[in-house]
Amino acid sequence: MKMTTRIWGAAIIGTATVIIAGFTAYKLLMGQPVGFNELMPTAVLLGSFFTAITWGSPEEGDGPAQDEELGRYITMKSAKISYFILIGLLLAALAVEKWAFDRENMALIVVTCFAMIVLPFTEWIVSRQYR
Amino acid sequence: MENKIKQLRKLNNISQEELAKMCGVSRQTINAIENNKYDPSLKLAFQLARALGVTVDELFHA
Repeated sequence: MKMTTRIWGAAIIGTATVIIAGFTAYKLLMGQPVGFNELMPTAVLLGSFFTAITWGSPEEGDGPAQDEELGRYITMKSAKISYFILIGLLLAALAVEKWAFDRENMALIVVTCFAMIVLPFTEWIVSRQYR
Repeated sequence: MENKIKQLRKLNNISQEELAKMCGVSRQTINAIENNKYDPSLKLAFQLARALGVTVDELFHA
């Protein structure tokens, strides 16, 4: 296997993700509180890992580049799929809050409502450019 | 949209990598277009047609 920048990047970020996730798991097992400081770096690193394994460079010929035509198509398609996954997760979080803990999280309700409006609203704004 | 990129590419003895380089895109882009996974932009369609020595009309058909 040719060690391209993409593979090196993925290996480095992947290792960092495993270390941070392992540290978080260790804290959980030791009964220590786990919060923003542990979960956010794991999420950021995991996101960077997927970015590293997805995109290549035309020079190295190891995958589509983010700024080329296919890259833009992949990004657009993924954005729409991600949006609906996020809506599903927000609704699931609302349902869990209500049924499992019998409480209403106002911030979560507002964010879910905003999430349901933001796509049609943005489409409306963008469509105005083509009138 | 159906296209004749693969046939014309093989006829001209050009690899996907070579065609990709001629058009300034990645090999994966050429592969995706050949397999009808997405339709290229007008600009790329013209570049592909020019690289394969045909017109856009000859290269693509609905």
